[in-house]
Amino acid sequence: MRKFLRNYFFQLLPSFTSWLILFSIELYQNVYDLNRGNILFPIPNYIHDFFYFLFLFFIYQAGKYIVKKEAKPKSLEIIWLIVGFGGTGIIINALSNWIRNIYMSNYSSIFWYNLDKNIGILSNSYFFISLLFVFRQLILFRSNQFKQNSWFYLDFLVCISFFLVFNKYLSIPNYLLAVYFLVCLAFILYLTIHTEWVAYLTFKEKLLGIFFMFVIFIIELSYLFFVNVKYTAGYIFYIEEHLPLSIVYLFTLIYTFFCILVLAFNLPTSSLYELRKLEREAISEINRVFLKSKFDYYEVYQLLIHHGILCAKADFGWIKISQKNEIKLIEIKGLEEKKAYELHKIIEKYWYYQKNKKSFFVGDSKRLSLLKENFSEFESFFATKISTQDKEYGELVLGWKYKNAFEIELHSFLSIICEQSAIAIENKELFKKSISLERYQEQLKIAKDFQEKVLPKVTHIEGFDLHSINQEADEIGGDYLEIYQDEKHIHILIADVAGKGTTAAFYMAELKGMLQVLFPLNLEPFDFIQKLNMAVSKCLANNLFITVNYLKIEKKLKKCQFIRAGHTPILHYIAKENKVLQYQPKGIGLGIIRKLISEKNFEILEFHLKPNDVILLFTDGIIEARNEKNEELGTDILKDWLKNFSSLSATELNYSILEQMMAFTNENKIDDDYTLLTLKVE
Amino acid sequence: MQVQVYDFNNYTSVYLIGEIDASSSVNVQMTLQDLLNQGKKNIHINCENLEYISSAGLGALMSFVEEINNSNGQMIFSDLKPKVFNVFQLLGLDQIMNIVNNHKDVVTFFEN
Repeated sequence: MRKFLRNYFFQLLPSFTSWLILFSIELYQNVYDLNRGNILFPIPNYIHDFFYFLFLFFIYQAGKYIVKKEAKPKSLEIIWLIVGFGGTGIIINALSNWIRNIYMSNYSSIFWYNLDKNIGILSNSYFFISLLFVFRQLILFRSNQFKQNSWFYLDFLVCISFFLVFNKYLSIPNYLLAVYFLVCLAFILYLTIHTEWVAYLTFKEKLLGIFFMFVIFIIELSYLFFVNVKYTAGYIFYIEEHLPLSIVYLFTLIYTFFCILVLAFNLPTSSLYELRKLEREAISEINRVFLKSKFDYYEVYQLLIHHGILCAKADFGWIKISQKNEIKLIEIKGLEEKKAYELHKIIEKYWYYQKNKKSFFVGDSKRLSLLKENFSEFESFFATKISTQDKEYGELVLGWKYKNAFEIELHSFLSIICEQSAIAIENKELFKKSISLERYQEQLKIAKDFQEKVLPKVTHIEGFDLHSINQEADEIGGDYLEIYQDEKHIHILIADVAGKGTTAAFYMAELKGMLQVLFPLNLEPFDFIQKLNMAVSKCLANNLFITVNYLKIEKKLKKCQFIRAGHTPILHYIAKENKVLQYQPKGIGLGIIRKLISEKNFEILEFHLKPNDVILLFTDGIIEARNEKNEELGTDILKDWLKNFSSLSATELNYSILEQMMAFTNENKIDDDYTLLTLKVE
Repeated sequence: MQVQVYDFNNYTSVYLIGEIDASSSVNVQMTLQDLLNQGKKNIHINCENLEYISSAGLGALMSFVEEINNSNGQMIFSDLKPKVFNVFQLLGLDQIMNIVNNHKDVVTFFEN
């Protein structure tokens, strides 16, 4: 109360001031009246009336402002204030009048008479006008343009009524007044019927509302009967004095009465509103769980069964979780576990007849031949799947002890929350998958960066034109290429490391390490392979092997030694004879014999390189590329290509072969890694 | 990919049918391991209907060859299709495996 006065002091001040002035003028006038001739300055009546008008006007403005600021449509606090302040004033006024009428025939003093009258005016005016604005807030709840317009007109009419303070000077004819009143009545009635706000109250709130409205109604009636029983000036004076507030009074009286009726008749519908409220709460609570970054499936199911039973007013229920072979029921409520499982078996059978439906309801379980005497409590039940389009997570089952317990509207609510739950669970699983995919891709990137450092770039070797192409099928490849030069020799090694992905990259790294040790030792080809085989056998996993082609070129005379450890053959284009030879000496892949290999396992091929000769090293990705007819490319076709492109530079030759390969496969996906190294003698 | 096992007098024949890739190679390996665990030391692999074998499949076979050699057993391959045989040759597997053209020669092989 104090806070209220403090906040709105400046709003209430003008009206209160006007009232004080009014009171003082009346007092002064009455003194003048009694002591005729002894008063110095008579104050004309119209000044008094003017202040009365101001008083009403300022209350009206204050009321408008305060109620707009304070009231939310359902807030009952403002009504407390009005009832408290104004109502008390009126009741005191009424009582004092009544008592005085019984015990006193006349007012003992002018002062008390004036005080009594003006307190009455003060409290009545505050009360009715603020009540008007509270009702305005209620009426304009969910307002539209038409309603707001109507209210504007009523506003206007009420302000006119304040001018009726000056009626004694204006002498408005009675019939005009009657018309005015009828017009006001029409607006009042139109606005009164807008009680939409009633639908948004719970049962308790409606009861409270009836109580308050009733109290206000009683106050209004008391005003009518008790307050103005006797005034000396008579009946006409009585009407005129209360004309200004009459519209406001009429409105509040009618509206209060109407509200009581509407609230009373709407009491039964509260259950629907409350049910909707429960449903909304269920949905938002389930939402809140989903928005948490970590939630447990069981949390979701707990909420589902809790809200499902609450909103459906079910007697029992449970959730079935979809598992491969067995039925698992969780969150069983209202029934023993054993019985629930028995009942569920029957429901499972019933699902069979539903075909593709997502949910079903049975109103009278007795009509089902499946349910016999054992389950007498189970009169009606409802089951719905908790699933998204792709996957089924479980089922929600609700049961009632009475028949036909189910409403269609409930169906849509339950379907919504089950779908919601399924989507959230699915999202969570997808999210998990995407996290692990991200991690995998990260690892792949690390291995790829690593591999890029391991593989050599194209190097220039004096006397040779050299170019290589290396293409991975996946992110990480299995083909390896190493070129090493020392004073007298060039060592070229091409390899196909078994396995894919990150393992291949690591084996490649190990291979590189071994080669960096072995190449400088300048071993004879077989020796080299033998040592390499021992080292590789130690580090490779059981079922894996590495195929290798090792070409050792002596720089000065361009004498070549070639050893083939299980790898694809190499091609040699002999410029002088314009023909291509395929070198496929005997050999065995590394890691196949996991001990010291013998010389009889390998053949070493020696040949010389002449100017314009071309050596082509490759991996099986090239040879095994398939066309649309699923035929392999094969070495023969490659030999032809080499012959055709033999005059080109190493780079051009490589890209020409690649072009041909693409044309051959005709955009068929090349599944394997492939590597192509062209060495042309200048 | 199918694996069919037939027991004969002094050896067991394993028919590999179809294509062996990374996933089916596990199946092959398990079958062969079972045979070895049962104490069967003479194993004949009939590749009449083997269309294709990937490097994973080759790896499985060759590691098994080593194992059987270590347990004093014998393994022989027969009726390899030309393409598959080429692959074997390229890798040099023909140097460590017994390979015959016709399964009729298998009987003679195991008699020795």
